[in-house]
This record gives sequence, C-alpha cells and structure tokens, in this order.
Amino acid sequence: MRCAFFQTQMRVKLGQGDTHVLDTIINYNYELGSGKLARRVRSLCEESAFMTPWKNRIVPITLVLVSFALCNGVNAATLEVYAAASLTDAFQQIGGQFTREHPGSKVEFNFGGSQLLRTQIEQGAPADVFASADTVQMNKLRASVGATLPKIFTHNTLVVIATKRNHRVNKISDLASTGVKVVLAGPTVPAGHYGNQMLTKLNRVYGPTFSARVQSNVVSQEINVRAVLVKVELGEADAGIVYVTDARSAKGTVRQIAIPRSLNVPAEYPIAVVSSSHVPKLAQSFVSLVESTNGQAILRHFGFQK
Amino acid sequence: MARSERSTSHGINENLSGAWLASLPTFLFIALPFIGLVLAVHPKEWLNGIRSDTAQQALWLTLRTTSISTALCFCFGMPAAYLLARTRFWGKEILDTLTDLPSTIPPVVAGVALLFAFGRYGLIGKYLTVAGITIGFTTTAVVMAQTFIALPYFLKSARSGFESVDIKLEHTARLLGISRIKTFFSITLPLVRPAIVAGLVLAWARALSEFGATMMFAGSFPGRTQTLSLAVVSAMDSDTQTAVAISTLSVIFGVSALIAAKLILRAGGESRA
Repeated sequence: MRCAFFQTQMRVKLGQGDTHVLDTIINYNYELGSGKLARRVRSLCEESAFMTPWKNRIVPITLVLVSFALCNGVNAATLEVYAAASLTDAFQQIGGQFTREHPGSKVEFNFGGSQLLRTQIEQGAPADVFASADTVQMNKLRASVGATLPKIFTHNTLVVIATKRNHRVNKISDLASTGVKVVLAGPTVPAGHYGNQMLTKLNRVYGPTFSARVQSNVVSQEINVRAVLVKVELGEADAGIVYVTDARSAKGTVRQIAIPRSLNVPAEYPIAVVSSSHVPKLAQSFVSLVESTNGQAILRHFGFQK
Repeated sequence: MARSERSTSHGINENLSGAWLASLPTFLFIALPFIGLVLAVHPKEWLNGIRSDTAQQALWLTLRTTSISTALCFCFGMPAAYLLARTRFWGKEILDTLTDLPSTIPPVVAGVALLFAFGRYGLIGKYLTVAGITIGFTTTAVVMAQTFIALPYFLKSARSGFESVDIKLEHTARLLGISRIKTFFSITLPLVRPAIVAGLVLAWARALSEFGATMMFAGSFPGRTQTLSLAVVSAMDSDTQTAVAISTLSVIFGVSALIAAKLILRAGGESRA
C-alpha cells in the first residue's frame, strides 16, 4: 500500500520533468524513515540516479538465463502419465506404489478428458504414458504421434444416476418421460459417446423411439463426465449417465439405477507408451505395474472391471 | 529520436536499452501464442471452420447473449456506479468489495454460486421453480452468467468516469437553477460518456470470453447455451480446425474491443482537453 503510493508519487514527479531527482530522493528518505522498505527504496533510487550502462549487466543476465535453461534438463527420472479423468483416484494410488518400487523416480499425472489429452500430446506435451478412456483417442494418437501397441487394461461400465432432490426418475424408462431433464457428456467425450451407444441399445427393450425421446430431454452436453455428476448432485438436472466409478466416487449423493450387463456398453481403457517418450523403459514399467495383480486390485477397488 | 526526447523531458540521462532488453520476453511471451494460433490454420480451412454449424450457431448465440448482457450491465451498472462515485455512507467499502468480487473469483466458482442462488433448488431458484420458471440450461442462464462476470468491469469504468467529473460544474449548473435531472443529462452524462462507452466495450469483451460460469450455470447445448468459448472446447475434441477457427474469431473480437475502447477514450480525452 505504502510502497505503491510512493511509486506513484515518484512516477508523477519524474513524469512532470522534475530535474531535481536528488531532492526527490531526500524527500523519500524523510518520508520513509529507516525501515527495511526504506533502505530498499533508497538504494533503488540511488541506483537509478547513477545508472550503470546495460553492457555491464550482460554477464549477470546471461547467468540468470543459463540457470533457467539448466533447471529444465535436470529431472530426467520424471515420468509424465496422461490419463483419462475417470482414472484419477485409482492412478494416483498406483503412482504411489510406483514411486515406492522405483526410488529416485517421480510420477507426474495429467488427468483430463481423453480427447483433450490426446490433442495436448499431439501439440507436443511431454507425455510418456497415455491411458485413454476409449480406443478411438488411442488410435488417433498412434496415427499421429505414435505409441506402442496398446493393451486394454481395464473396463468401466455406465450407470444412470438420478438426483436425490426429486423422484422423477426411478427407473430407466423414466428417462424418456416428458419434462425430465437429462444431462449427458458431449458426443465427443468418451462417456457421451458410450452413453449414446447405450441409449440406442436400450431401444431393444423400451421401444424404437426410446433413445430419440431421451435425446429430446437432454438439456446439456457437458464437457466432461464429472460435470454431469455435479449437475445431478445439485438437482439442476433430474438424471444423467456416468461411469460406475464416478457414481461410486459420489458417495451416496446421487441415486444409482443399474443397467443390465446385456444392454450396457463397456468402456475399454487402452494404455500405451508414447513414442516421443524420453524414458521409455520407465514408462514401460509403469504400464506393467498397471497390468500387474497389484495394479488391477487397486483398479477393482475403485469400481473398474477387468 | 524518441530516446533523446525522453531523456530531455525527464531531465536525467536515461538509457532505456536495458529496459528494452528486459521487456522483450514479456512482449514475445504475449505475442507468440497469437502468432501460433493464426499460423495453425490455412485460410481456406479457416473459412470452412467458421461456416461449420458449430461455429455459426455459437457465433449468433454469442452475439445475441453478449449484446443483451452488455445492455444489462449498463442498466444495472449506471445507478450503482453513480452511487458509489458520489456518496459516502456506512458500508460503502463492503459494497465496493462486493461489486468487485465476480471479477476476482474463479468463474467456475461464480457459476456454482449462481446455481446455489438461481438453480432449481437454489435460494431464489426454488421459489421460481414453484412459479414454473427454471433458469438453468437456458439462454437466460447464459446471459445471467455473462452479466454477473462482466458487471464489475463496467462498474469500475463508469465509476471512475463519474469520479473524474469536476463537481463544481454540476454545482454551478444547480446554482443557475437547472434541475437535478437536467444537470445530470446535460452536464454530467456528456462528460462521462467516454468512460461509459469504454466500460461497455470492456464488459462486452469479458462477456464474450466467459466460459467457466456459463459451463456451470447454463451447461453446453448447441444453439441454446453453447457460446463461442464453449464451442472451442467442444470442437477441440473432434475437429481441431473448427476449434482454431473459432479461437481466431474470438481473438479478432478481442482486438476490436481493445481498439474501440482506446479510440473512444482518446476521443473523449481530446474533446475535454
């Protein structure tokens, strides 16, 4: 506050073409007293009055720049894992396990919509491992940047969630009732893509117009599956379609309406080492851990199915 | 030469090459992403991207909602800006902080807060629901989110406009027997007009770039609530060219807004000088 005031004062004085810079400095000395701030301002003022030519500053500036550049190349043992948002909880736990098994290495996660992660990697983001929530995004990445042969390491299934604020949706057929507000993930988000497939499958049981009637109840195509959960939790929407793992993470804030296995669309999760990885060996051992009994147990704990 | 001019006006021999050297990274850091964005798309593909249904729907929706929300900023903002500039009262600081708040919190938080107030089961929303009105997931929700986020920008500009008017001019007019309302419209308003117009441009630009609050409060549905910035995120998943085309369009809007605001302020400054 005080500092800003003095800065303004100084700017005003210098801006008016005040030639008595030294007078100004003396004034500051008077106003500032002898605190720490005062000493700093004073030394700055004195320096500005006897400015050194910039040539003498080349060496320190270069040193600073070089030290910045060096900082970037030091941590070679950091593993960058780009994983679908739905894997957040499970992968963080697997990451903890990994660093215990590989002392000296560090795992950094980037969780998000698979399609967004894929775009980021294509634009040069330094990913070592890519775990996608659908094979479409994985195949796109393999075609552009390149990756090892992906393996399906786990499955997720869909579930209808309904708000606890009202009881307009109690069974699957209610999704098509007039006036019901349904939110889905957008058609390009894996969860939305699977959701639309599932609705079409449900036509077999609920009649050929079922999916069209549900689609006309859709009030929003959310950007990711977690946003669907939020809208239903708050009661802003009556129902939505999310992964079983998301519904489980909601810890009872929404009602779940299970979908029979025969009508469900299993989400496949492929994992692969990205071709541009600088630590392919380390990346491969992370993939192995995910596929191991240990990794699979963790995934099961969070609701995933092999 | 600009540099010699500077040294004479300051009266001390300033060498600004150090400042140039130090600020170059700043300018580059800001300029490079825009250059990258513009170079990322071929002009022909750009045109195709702009002509796509996603872009067209988002464009018209955005132009419609932002003009309404800018108009709302004006209607709601003017009395409040005048009050905050001209009067002193207990709790003014609180109101002042409150009106700034939407611009300092994360927009997503603003969206959640709007849901808790105007959502279907929100503070006010639950009564609206009883009356048969729902705001969530409608274009109205988009306008509300934009107004909420953009209002502080208009308020700040209009308020500083009112503060800069020499109150003696108004007093003189009042002493000459001109009514309070006429004084406002014939003396005060012409003087603050540049600040108000600049504030409107800034508010419009902020409404245009609104994302977080809209996503939370209004959701995303093509033609209804999917504005330009939401369309970028949605298109980024499947159709990068369209996403880039929409992004450059937003940049063009942003640049025009800044130029407009500068020209207006400069014209205002000259007419007063």
